[in-house]
Amino acid sequence: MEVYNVVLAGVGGQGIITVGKIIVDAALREGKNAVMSEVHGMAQRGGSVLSEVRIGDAMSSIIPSGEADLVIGFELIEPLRYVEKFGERTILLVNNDRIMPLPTLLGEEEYPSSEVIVSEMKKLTKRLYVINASKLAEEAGSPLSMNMVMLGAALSLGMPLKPETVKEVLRERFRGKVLEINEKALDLGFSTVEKMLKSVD
Amino acid sequence: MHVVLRPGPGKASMLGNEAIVRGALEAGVAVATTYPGTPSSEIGDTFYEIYTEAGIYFEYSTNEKVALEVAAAAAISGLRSIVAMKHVGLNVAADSFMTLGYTGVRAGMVIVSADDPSMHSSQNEQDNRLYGVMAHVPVIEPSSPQEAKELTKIAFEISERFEVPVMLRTTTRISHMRGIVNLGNLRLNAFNKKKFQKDPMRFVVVPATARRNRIRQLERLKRIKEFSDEFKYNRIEVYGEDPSVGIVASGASYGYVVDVIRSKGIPAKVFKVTMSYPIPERRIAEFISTVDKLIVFEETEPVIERQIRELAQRLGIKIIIHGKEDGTVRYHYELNPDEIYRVLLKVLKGETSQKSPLKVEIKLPSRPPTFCPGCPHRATYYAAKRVFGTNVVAPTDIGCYTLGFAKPFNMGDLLFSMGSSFGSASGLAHFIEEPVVAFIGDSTFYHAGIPGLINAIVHRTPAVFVVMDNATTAMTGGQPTPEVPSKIKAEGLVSIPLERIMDGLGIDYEVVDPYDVPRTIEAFRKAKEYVSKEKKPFVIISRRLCALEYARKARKEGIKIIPYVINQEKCTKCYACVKTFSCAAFTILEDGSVHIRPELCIGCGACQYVCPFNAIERAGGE
Repeated sequence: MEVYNVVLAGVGGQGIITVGKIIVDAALREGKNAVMSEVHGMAQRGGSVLSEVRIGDAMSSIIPSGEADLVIGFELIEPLRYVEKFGERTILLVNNDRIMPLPTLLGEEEYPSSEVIVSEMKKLTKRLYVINASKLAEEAGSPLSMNMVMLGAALSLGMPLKPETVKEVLRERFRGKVLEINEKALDLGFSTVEKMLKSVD
Repeated sequence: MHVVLRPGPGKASMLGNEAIVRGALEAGVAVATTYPGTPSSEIGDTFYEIYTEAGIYFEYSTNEKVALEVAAAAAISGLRSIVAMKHVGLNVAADSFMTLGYTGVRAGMVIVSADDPSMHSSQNEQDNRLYGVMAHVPVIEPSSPQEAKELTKIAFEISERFEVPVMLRTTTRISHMRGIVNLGNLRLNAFNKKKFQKDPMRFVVVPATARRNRIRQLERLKRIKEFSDEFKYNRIEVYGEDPSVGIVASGASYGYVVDVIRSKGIPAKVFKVTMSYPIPERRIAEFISTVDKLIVFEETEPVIERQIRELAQRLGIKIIIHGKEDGTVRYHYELNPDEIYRVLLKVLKGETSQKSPLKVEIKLPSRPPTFCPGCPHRATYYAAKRVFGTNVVAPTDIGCYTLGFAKPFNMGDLLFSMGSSFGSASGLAHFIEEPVVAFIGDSTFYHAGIPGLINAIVHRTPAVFVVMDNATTAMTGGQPTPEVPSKIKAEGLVSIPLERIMDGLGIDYEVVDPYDVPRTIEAFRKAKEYVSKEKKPFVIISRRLCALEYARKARKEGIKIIPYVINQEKCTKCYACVKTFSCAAFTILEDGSVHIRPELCIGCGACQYVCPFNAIERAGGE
């Protein structure tokens, strides 16, 4: 049974659920099955958010341990909370934006340096892609389009969906200026990672 | 067009909760009611979006008990009805629910109970299938959004066939699972007025009629048990060659079981139990006679497992049954594919599964949920804390404002259920030395807080009662309240302002805007004095629109948000703002300077009163 598993990790308000929905809708357009878990309520208020998307022949929306194909971190440290999802084939794509949680602002807990976090990530996977998605989103026209940058980047890392299908879904969901910015953000994410892949080759 | 109104046939991606609405619309539902609560809220939200177009009656009721009673009245009048609530909502509705299991209904009635194993957004993980057992109301459980749609449709038929409400029990993982759903034909515009058929000997429950209803209830249960054996959604599936192990699974657990045995290639016979009460006894008895071992997987309590154990004992079937009662399956929290695999390895091979060797060597900072940027609750708690300090006991309640119990405010010492802050405070202030300040949200006040306040007035409880009025039911996504009952102009609903309730009750109160921090502090100071001098309750209504609703409104109406900024020349880096007010828009850069993130700030200005050096200013220096 062929299932492609995506972990979406970040902070409430980053547009994570929207990305999941777009993936599911794009899969449906390509005649594929897809399932997704969402979180609502208490967990959303600026807390850690985890959503899991599975494209293919899966019954349940929870990814078994070690079976993530792609982990997307919308915030730098968040993907490290789901270490059990990492396995041999896992690719990690992460936005290097650091969002300080309240206990850190209160000086009670420490947010490790970016270097320390990245070196932990390198222990989990050889295929690590760190991008400045928040900055790319501003280039695209709005910091809120960061989620689309990440989605575009994910498409260049083997997510089994055609970029054109994803764009069709975007055109169905958004209008006018928002659509324009989101499409630009998607392209920027895609091309940024494409370049990283080429420079490795 | 909303996805639930898209004409069939075809496919669409839907949340489990949306699929339930779709199923109801395909079944020709006429009346839908709810009180919002995670993970059930999107059922009501979806109905609210489409009810006019769909030609049905919908309401956000005052609480779950009223919602259930409205839906029952519809079903007894001959209109198909659905009522949705979170698991603990059924506690509120339990009084009427239990007797509804005796009287039954006429047209189909579906009660959606969205349970929350693992307590993602709840105070407990009670298993409401046990309510079904208690009221002899049949319970069915979907395992996917597609099934949620199908079973909702079928639930109406079962309900009508046996003249009893049917409970559709979901869990968070089904209600909040998105998946592909096959669309059937819609039966819209089902609402039309009926003539009431009187039958007081059935529907007025005095002892004489109740006794008759009780006998009918038990006879009905017998017939439902026979039906459970015919019910095709209770089904056996065989995976792999010569399986010797039998697995019984329901709800979300069924999906995990199938995923695990398929991906790991474990041969097994799976009995998918969809009607978990009453279980299909004859077929289960046959099933367990053909396997060497049986494992039962279900969410939360061993409801199916206990029925099977009782059945095996009654029929003298000797079989080893593994589940929660013998400790094989973890009892607490929701199950998941890893737990299923662990149990299968242990039972089938006596092996312990290998934990992932990967781990993180650094300590991750915790990221608890917090108040949104500009949340008026933050300002209310800040003011309360300035007056009462730490020498206060604060019963709190259910809503976003529960987060006030955490740092830096620490306002929250007691909470059981919706409305319990005012109820418990009405007694607490008689029993303890410390001052008592009770906090409740507007929607929760109308839902179950009013009786507690009445009790405090009658018993002259010397405590401050704070109603935090943000004009919406915020935590569950911004639903209306009895004070702001509608988001749609044409609805013509009547608003009941908090002031009118307080005037009617004859209690002294003051209304404040929490963004005006100095005045709010003054109000708390006066309330404290009043209570200690007069020895009776005082109410503060802290009123300001929910920050999320405001942001939405600003976007829609093109209101320009002017953020506040920190004047770096005046800022002494004392961090008073961060430590005592802790707005989520504050951030500290690596050089130690404090900033307000302009994309998060909604320009409420409450934080300007918090800085001892007046360093927080409106951007542009206005």
